[in-house]
Amino acid sequence: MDGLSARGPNPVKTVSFFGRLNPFRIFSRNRDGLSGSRDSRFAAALLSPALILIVLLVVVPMIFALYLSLHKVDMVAGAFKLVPVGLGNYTRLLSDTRFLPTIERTLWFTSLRLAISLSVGLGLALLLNEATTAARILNRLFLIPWALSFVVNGLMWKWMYNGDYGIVNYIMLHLGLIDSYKSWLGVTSTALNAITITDAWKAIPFVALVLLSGLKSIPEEVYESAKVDGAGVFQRFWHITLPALRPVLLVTLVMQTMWSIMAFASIWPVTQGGPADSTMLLNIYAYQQSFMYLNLGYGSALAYVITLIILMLTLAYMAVLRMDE
Amino acid sequence: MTKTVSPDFRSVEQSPRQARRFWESLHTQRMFRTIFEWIAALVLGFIVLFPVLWLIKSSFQSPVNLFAREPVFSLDSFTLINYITILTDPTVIAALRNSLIIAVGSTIISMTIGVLSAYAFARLHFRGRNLLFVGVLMTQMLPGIVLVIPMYMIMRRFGLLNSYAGLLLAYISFTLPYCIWLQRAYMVNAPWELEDQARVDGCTRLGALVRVILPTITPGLITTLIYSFVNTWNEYLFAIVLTNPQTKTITVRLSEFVSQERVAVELMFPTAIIATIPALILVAVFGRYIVSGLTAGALKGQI
Repeated sequence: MDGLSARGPNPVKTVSFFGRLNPFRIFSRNRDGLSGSRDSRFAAALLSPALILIVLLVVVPMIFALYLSLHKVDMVAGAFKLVPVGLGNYTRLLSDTRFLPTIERTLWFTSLRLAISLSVGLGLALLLNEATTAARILNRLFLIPWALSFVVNGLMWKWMYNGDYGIVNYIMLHLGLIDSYKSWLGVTSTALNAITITDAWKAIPFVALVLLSGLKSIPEEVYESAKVDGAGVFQRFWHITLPALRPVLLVTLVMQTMWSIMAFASIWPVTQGGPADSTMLLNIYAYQQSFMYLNLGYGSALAYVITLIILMLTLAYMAVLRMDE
Repeated sequence: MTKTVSPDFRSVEQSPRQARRFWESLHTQRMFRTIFEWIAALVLGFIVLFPVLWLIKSSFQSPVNLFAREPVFSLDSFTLINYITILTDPTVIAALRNSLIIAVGSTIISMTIGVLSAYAFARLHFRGRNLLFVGVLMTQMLPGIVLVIPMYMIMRRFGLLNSYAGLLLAYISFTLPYCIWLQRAYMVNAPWELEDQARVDGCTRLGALVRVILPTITPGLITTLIYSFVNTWNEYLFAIVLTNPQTKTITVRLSEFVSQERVAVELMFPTAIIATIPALILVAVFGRYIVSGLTAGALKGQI
């Protein structure tokens, strides 16, 4: 944008953020690896503050969480007491009648959120790709949802969904879509879909702007020559735009899936997983077990399940990037 | 969306009168097109941004008008009383201050420490570089919940729970890897021949980095700063677990307007607007940097 690309990372190239560092070749010896021992020592000095912090703040907690997941954590006289239970917390998952439905709901939430944010986002990106002043202004305005916090987003929608005074009810009643005001977040039949729309809405501008940068990288000449060859709007979209967007679309898809699984702040303050567990997603359940019931051991096991899912998606993400190279 | 209007020059050759008519019609066509584009943009912008507009509208109305079956739009229903109530509420002011301290603190620390590592990853050759870099990237992918549970217990044990330092450290766990990654991405494309010149002129490596290289990647630094600030300012999961009434941030304070009995919307909305203003200012001033960083941030722009 605006001549930035000269210095900053090229918008499209950065989407494959590993650049020349192929994650699947990390174990091969670095070609320059042995050349400069002075480099190595200097690098160690520069890296050490960051690495110490990352080890203390990420690696140690990760290991401790794994340790916790193998224990039952009891609160005894204001102090935590750990009782080893082996894989007990993990086997408990299988018999937990509340656990399996959370997986189901998370899947539904993720699919619906992806469907909404990717389709609307792609549509908006195509419109914003028109090089007009109006499109540029919209482009900037669409950053507002991005800047909102998830808590504000959730609470704002909660108010719009309100069963007595919500604008959603008012609009839908006047459009003839409903007969009477409904409490969208208050009943189990609609709460999950309502909260999915909330979270998807916040993702739309983000998806649109990422896809837009992908669109911008398609050379205008390709379209011109296709036009000369008599390709219509839809043919051009199908044969030029979509294939060219494929890498960006795939990356967005995987990233949005991860974020759906990690969604928390636009749900917890709004419904706390209710009513009757209807918005209890996997991540929300892990939080509730850990910090409402203080089942920190079981919560850690749940958190590790989430981490494993995310890890698998990360590997999928890397595979996607590798396919591209 | 619309077809490009390309003049058909054969018609120009026909006669001067026809040519004039052609150019006039082209002008009208272009004008209509512009008008159409603006209307489309306005409608689209209104639809997409409607929730925000509704939030702004609601923040200026008193409960009498908010809790009405039909939305009230009359001008005299708008009032500043909600904002005055909120801005004189010491708990809200304290929460804003806490958020500012923690967001600014973790951003400064992460960027400073991050820039050193970014330099090492971008410029130096050492064994295990790729492995280490992928390791740093992987830490960004971790879900917050798997870190917040052990952090809660560790911080409780070491007396860091409910302290600024505790939340600051928790935030560094995700802003630092992010800062390393983003700053490296910009640094790789920096004009490194300038560094060599500076070193010939007697600069140390770090001196050259600070005086020569960093100024050339200012857009990248601004992007990193905005991301780090906005993400920590808006963070909720770590904040709700690791803070108490004295140290809680504005997102936690906001969520407290929702209680079992009722939702104090008339106070919640002005607080929401005020809580969004710092991020909005950054968006207004540095919008173009954010857009370029959004794609870079496709990795992790959201916490």
